[in-house]
Amino acid sequence: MEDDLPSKYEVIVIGTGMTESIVAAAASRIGKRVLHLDRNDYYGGMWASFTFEALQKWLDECRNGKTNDSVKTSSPLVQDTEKSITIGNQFSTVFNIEEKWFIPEKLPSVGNLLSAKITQTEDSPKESKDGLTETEATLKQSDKLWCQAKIKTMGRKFNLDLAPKLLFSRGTLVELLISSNISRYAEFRCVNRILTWQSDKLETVPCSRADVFATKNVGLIEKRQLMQLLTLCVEYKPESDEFKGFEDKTLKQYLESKGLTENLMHYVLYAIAMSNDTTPCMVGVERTQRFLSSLGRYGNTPFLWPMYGTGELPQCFCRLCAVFGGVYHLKRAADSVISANNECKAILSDGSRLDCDHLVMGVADAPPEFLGSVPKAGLSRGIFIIDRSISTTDKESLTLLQFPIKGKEPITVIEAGPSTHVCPPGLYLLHMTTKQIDNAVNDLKPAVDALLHSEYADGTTIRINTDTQSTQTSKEGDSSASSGESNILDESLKPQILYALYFNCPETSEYDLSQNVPSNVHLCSGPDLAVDYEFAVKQAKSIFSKMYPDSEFLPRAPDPEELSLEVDEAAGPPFQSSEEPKEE
Amino acid sequence: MANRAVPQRPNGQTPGKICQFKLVLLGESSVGKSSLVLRFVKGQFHEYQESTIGAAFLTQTIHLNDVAVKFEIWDTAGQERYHSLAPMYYRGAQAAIVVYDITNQDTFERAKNWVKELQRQATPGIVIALAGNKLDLNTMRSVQTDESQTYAYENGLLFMETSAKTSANVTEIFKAIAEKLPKNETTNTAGQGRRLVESEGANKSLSSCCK
Repeated sequence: MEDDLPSKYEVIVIGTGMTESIVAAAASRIGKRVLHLDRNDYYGGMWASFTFEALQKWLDECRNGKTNDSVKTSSPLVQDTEKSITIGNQFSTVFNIEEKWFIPEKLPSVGNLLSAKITQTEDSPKESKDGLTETEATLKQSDKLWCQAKIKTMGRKFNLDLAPKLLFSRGTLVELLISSNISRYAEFRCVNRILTWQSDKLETVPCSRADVFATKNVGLIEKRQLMQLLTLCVEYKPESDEFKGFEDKTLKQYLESKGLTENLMHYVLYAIAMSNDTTPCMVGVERTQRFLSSLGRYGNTPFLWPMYGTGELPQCFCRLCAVFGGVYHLKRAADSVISANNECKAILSDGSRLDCDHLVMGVADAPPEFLGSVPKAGLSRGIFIIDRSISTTDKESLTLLQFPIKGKEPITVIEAGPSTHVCPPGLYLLHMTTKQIDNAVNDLKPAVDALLHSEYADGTTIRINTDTQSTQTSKEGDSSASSGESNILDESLKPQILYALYFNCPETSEYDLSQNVPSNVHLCSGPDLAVDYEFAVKQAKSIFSKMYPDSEFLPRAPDPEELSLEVDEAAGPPFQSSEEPKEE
Repeated sequence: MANRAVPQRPNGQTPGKICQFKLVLLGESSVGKSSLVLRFVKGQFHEYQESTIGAAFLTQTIHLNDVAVKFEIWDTAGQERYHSLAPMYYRGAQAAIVVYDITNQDTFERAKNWVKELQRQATPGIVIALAGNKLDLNTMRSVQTDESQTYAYENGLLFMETSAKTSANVTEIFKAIAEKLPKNETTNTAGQGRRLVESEGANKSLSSCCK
């Protein structure tokens, strides 16, 4: 094949997942010659966001377990002293795929219904009381009727995340994006609502000072207690005595010792400390601190969500890598790793030998013998396209809910709407993630049953009651203010699932991936269970410092205006502009 | 409510009548994308311009009557070379310049593909300009002006032949784009999220928190 790809690199990175992309950017940033390959035609691997059709294609590939083209074990490109190790198969790692539609393929009846209505009202359109003509009203109603075909025609408006995550406003990823100047490539929205599930209903968790005062869910004494406790956690320093005696107890035991009510305990434990009844006290305090310290930087919750979905983030790092000279080649698989004396020398890709000093690769691409006993299981994921928010208010929300499960890891629920460009208007996306115990369907069942309406909607009846009750229209916005805080999930108010996808994929964050690999090969975990990116950033930093211990990790990239492009000073006059280009 | 910080927003109109727009460059390697931008922004030209390291994000302002149109110009950073341009590149772009080399017919054919790609991937309503670059090499021309003109007309594109070397039509093409961009729209087509910047909230970490 035509191959003008240069053959020698300091770093070759296989896979464009989050950790791989951060490492690629960091290496390129300090002037290393980087080649970044991905066998897919999209960025992100298991961290990607897909349009609806791209998701379908990915599912097909997973189901068919697309195998690697057989690689010749003996190749003239491999020397006698070298060993060629075949790359792993990324699609074999996704399993228990369950996909289900809850709506009909088409809505033939609606078209007829509509045209009938139009002919009727053509001559004398009657104004109904809310100012809409009958035709408009019918149109409006049919807008709320969904069928598969309709979803598919809007398929490009989806950005469906394989690994939905949030950024702590003061977390390591936000700091890294800012300090490296990569933040200019992306836009974010603040999560503006944190919900919890208590006594069979959804409640808004008060997390800022203003929230605590405003909430109707806790009494006056409780408010004082909550403020005191949160202040204690914020101001906690290791030398203080506050948590003496609780070092080997659970956070729950500590909270009990403070005489917190059930209600408060629930808020703090599950929503603010993002813990459960077995979380050790000091871990919980640390999480509470992290939560509180991220409040107020960008919004009234500690979290940010990337516009267009989380799949944008690896791409931002890839762009920086490219800007500093990194070479990008998608749809380009690595076939095998060539090693000698426990050191990787090169990779074979598409009939070419590409030499490298360091090889960075995601676990999905790693040859099985590099992985050793790393488990194949770990995460249970659910992606739901729904027809309204799980808890409607007068405006669109971006929501985090840690759905508590007794004695187990909670189910992390993230709900995003059309204003973040992850789905078309009129719809919401609901993501669920939890630790795999059984399979995704069973593991997520408690939250699905509690939050969603999962009966088949035949597409002929609009759940009209819910629409008039819900407060999504501005006219009825007022009524929501009073009831908004605590929504009892009446079955008729629950969002209808239109489409559901479940799958399981590996979670390797707790395993030492360096055990079975040559010394200059660095494996990157896929998405981890945690809601944030702390792990990915930490792992990327540690890989980078192993490769280049004396170099700075992603120093600030200069704005182009600051660059003196090696030019003789006598270059032509600049474009006459009255305003100097400014850094934003 | 999260969007108080107007000046940080990449798009839209601020009270001082500065409209900021994201403009992306597309086209095959070595047609002169970076050169066009360097000529426009810095007034420079380098005969043997290497793929521009570190300078894939430039800004330049044009004044049209009383409106300042600020372009935030994104270069491909070489990711187009192996057809690996990331979708994030197109996100929220309100304008694009698709560049080809008038001495190379292939680059014109590829330019048509980029136009298609933009129409498929980018924000609806994006202003697209087609630039036939290297007009200084007119004697070696292989793409006829008529051909490109017709194609541009049929596809609703702005069209000019340019030379980053002589600076012919460089300012003009950006100006034509600036004129065509909607400057009063309140409903902005871009992302409408927020950018994260250093200064923001630096001193008010716990201001709205429990203290």
